[in-house]
Formats: sequence, C-alpha cells, structure tokens
Amino acid sequence: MMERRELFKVLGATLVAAREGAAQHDHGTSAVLEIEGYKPRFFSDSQYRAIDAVAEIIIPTDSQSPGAHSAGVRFYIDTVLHYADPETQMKWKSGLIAVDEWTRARFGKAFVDCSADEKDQVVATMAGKEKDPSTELERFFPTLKQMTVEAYSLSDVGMTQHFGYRGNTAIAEFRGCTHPEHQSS
Amino acid sequence: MGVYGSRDGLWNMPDGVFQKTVRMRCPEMLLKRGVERLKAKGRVMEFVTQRKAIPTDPAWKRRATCHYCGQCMNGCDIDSKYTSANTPIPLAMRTGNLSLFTESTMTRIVLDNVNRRVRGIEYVTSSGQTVSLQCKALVLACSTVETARHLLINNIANSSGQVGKNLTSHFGTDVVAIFPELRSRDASNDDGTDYFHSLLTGLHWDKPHRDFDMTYQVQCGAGLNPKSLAIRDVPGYGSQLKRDLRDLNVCHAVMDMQGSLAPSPRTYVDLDPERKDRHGLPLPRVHLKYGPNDIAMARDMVETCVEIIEAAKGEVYSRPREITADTLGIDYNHWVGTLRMGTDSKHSVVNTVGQSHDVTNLYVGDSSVFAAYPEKNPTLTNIALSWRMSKSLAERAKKGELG
Repeated sequence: MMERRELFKVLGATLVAAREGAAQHDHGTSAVLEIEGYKPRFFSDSQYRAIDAVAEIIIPTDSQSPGAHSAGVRFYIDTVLHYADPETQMKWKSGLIAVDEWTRARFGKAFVDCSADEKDQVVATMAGKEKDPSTELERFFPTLKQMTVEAYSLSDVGMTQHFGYRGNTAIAEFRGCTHPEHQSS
Repeated sequence: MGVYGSRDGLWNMPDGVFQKTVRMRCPEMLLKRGVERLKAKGRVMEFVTQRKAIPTDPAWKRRATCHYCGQCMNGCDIDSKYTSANTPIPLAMRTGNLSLFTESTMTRIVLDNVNRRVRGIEYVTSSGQTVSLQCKALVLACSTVETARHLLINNIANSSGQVGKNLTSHFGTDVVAIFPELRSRDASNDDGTDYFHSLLTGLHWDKPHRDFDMTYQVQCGAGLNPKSLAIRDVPGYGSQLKRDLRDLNVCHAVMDMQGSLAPSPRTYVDLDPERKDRHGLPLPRVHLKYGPNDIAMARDMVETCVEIIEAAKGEVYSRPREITADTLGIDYNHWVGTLRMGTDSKHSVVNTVGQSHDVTNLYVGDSSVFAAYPEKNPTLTNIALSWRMSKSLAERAKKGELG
C-alpha cells in the first residue's frame, strides 16, 4: 500500500505544475521534483541514459517547444516501471537488450555509446514497421513511444509549453465556441 | 437538484427547469453545422448541448457553482456535480438520522417468512466480525448486478422468476472527426464540465429504422486535454509527431455511440456455481450477447456520423473498420434492469414505487428496477425513481405501516 501511495504522490507531482495562480485554486500538490539528481530505480544508469536519448529522438527539442529530455520523460518512465507488473518490466528489459544487440551487430558498441547519427538510425529502424512490427526491436517501439508520449503530455513542459494548456483551474465562465463563423444559424 | 441545459423543445427529450447551459467547443459546433445541413435535406436528427446535474447559476445556493476545471468524473472537489456519495448522503447525515457503516459487507438478509417481511440483515465488518441489524424496512441500492445477486443468494422476492433477468446496458463504438480549419484555434482551456458537451439525438424516433428496433444517441466531445489525450495513437516520431499530436487534438471531435441493447433471454445475471467471494457467497456472472439488432444499429451509427462529419466539411480520422459482435463495447457503468418494475407481480419484481411484490418491507433504490431502457443516460432517471421510492416509504412509515 505504501508503494502505491508513493507512486501517486510522485506522479501527482510531475502532473501538476507549480504555476502562478495555482495557490488560489490548487488541484494537487505543487511539489517540484528534482529530476536532475534522481537515481533510477528500475533502469541501470546506462539504460536510463539510453531511454533518455531514445525519448528525445521521439519527442525532440525543436522550434515548437522543448523535448522529452527537458520534460523529464526518463524519470516518469523509470518511476512507472519501478512499480509495474513483472510482465511489463520484462517487455522493457528485453526491448532494451534488442536495441543493444542491434547496435552491437551494426556499429560494434552499445546504444549509449553510439553517435547521434547512429542513434537516429536505430530509431528509424525501430519505427519502420510501426503498424505491423515483426522483430523484437520493432515490437519495442510502440511500447516505448506510447509511454514517452504519455510522460511528455503529463509533464509541465509538455502540458504548458508544447500543448499550451492553461486549464485545470477555476474560471467564472466557460465560454466555449463564440465564433460567428462556427455557428449554424 | 440543479441541472444545467438548454430548452430545446424536443419531444423526445422534454425540457425541465435548467440553469445556464455550458456551451460546446468549436469542433462540436462544426458537428452541429453538419447536422443542420443534413436536416435541411430532410433528415431527422438534433444536435444539442448536454444536460448535466451541475449548477451553473451562482444565485442558486444549494450547491457550489461549477468552476469548469473538467474534473467532474474524478470526484468534484467542491461537490458541485450531483453524486450519491457527495450530495444526498451528507444532507441525510446532517439530519442526525443516518448512520453509515463503511467497510462492511452485507452477507445475509433475514426473513420472517410468516409475515413475508425482512426482519434484518447480517453484515461482516472489515475486521471479520459478523453483526446483526434489525430493521423496519430494507432498501437495497447495490447497483444492478449486485442487488440482483443478493436477492438470488438469499432466494427472496423472486416469485416472478424475473430476478437477474432483463439485464441491459448501453453498447457502442465511436467515430473520430478532425476539422483542419480549426488547427489554430485557441484550445488553451477546453476543460468545461468534462469531455462531452454535446449530444446527437432524435434519431429514428419518428419512425423506426427498417433494420433495427429502438435507437441510439451519440455523445460528442472535443478539446485539447494533455492529461488524457483523446488522440494519442499517431504514427511517426520527431517534430512531425509533436505537431500532429497537438494539431489533431486541438481540432478533433469524438462521436461516442450509446445504443439501446435489447433485453433478451441471453442477457442476464446469475450466480456462479464455482467462484465465491471471501465470505463464501457465490459471485455473480454477467451474461451478454450482441444480436443482429445491435449490429445493425451500430452500423447505422457509423454511417450517420460519417455523413455528419462530411456534411460539416470535416475528415473522418478513425472509424471501426467493420462492425461485428466482437468490435462492440458495453458500458459497464450503465447496467439496468435485473429487477424490473411493473404492476403485474407475475412478470415483475417490484411495483411502481420500487417495493417488492413478495416482501412488503423490501425496497430497491437503484437502476435495476428499470422496466425499459432508452438510449439516454440512466443516472438522473435512477435518482428520480429512487426519490419516488423514498417518498412512498416515508409516507408508509408516517402512517405506521412499517411496524
């Protein structure tokens, strides 16, 4: 029970951004977690760096907004997997092994030691058959991407900077659509 | 009760006393535009704002006014949204006449067989202690499956043989639209009163469809919500994925079918002969089968929604590839009908005030008493029926009829 409660606390803290005005109507804890100093509990240090690098390729920092690294996606994934069922944990462990096997066969080194260009090649290969994955490497991609997207969307960076979300707050009136061009009559 | 909505003047959805309505977002307004265009060509359907038991008028003081944070289904933090746990129960507790026994499970209904009356119940506390309670009347409100299960376990109130029968719910599928013209709209706060703000209704009410009986409604929702993205299964990766995730969610609308599932002999609740709960009581089994009527109805829903989206100049983003019994989904929150209400004790379990035909001080205060089930959401009807049951029970108590 303690563990579940802790998970909710941790996820709650990443979910809810400490924003101006939040004090007036606070829908959750506004703790800001120190992601930089976090020591992974599910992944090894090198796996943790690998997840960070892959997530950043899936959701990169670009002209639109900061990406997965800035959003702390690796921290979310490690925390969720720390509490996940053994089957889910195994899927991630074997997925990461498949990634390393591929880079060792192709480039003679583990994924984390690859150059940026080589890392891009791995992700391009993984994502090649997204709709119809057949190899271990291809099957890992949807798992990886799904949680990366979820973590990014729930992060302060993703929620506010990328999606521009300003909700989860108290307002006096919900305006909805008032555009004359969208009205039917 | 505090219900918001608009007075639409629809004969299939009568108006009530409504507080100020909560408007649709732009993608929902465009669906409405599609509906209006089809109506102009002679199609019969309506597209209206939803009605919800959430007060929106600050002058109405009986519950807090909604502040549109979108967390209606996660436990409204100011108890604005009407729910059994947060609205009537606290009110009843304030009278001083209500005691709550939480973490307790009823394990037996004790009957006085001579007088056809419930004498009391036994329940087990969280520490495993069995306790007896005497009562003048017993009201069961454990939800459709569980209330029927208790009557079956205790083998009471079932001279009609209808306990557990006539189970039904809503079933459905969904169609997702996108409106590229809305990609750059302001979607910074679409929360409102949770996702669905609009409703497609009035279909096949004037005359039945040639392929199926009864009808369906379609709850429609829209809005960018990063806490739970409506469209997250987007192909690709990199900057394009980021852009698509935002744009698609900003301009999408979901059309979610709620179809009337016809009660049939194949849809019922009974007791599992093998599996038991931790008190040794049989677990319930839910039997559910979709038939040709349901499949034909779902096919019509998909075709109609696609027509609306196209008439609105939108694009169909996703739709079920084919409709079969396997692709339909049941709504596990909307079960009704295992203890149907009626005037004839041979064919129904309770009378029109929710009182058992067989056991005169046994009442049912949940949606298991529904005798028929339209496509509409059940909760407010459920509350109205429970209200009527409570009034009748209170009158009998005042007259001293409960002993």
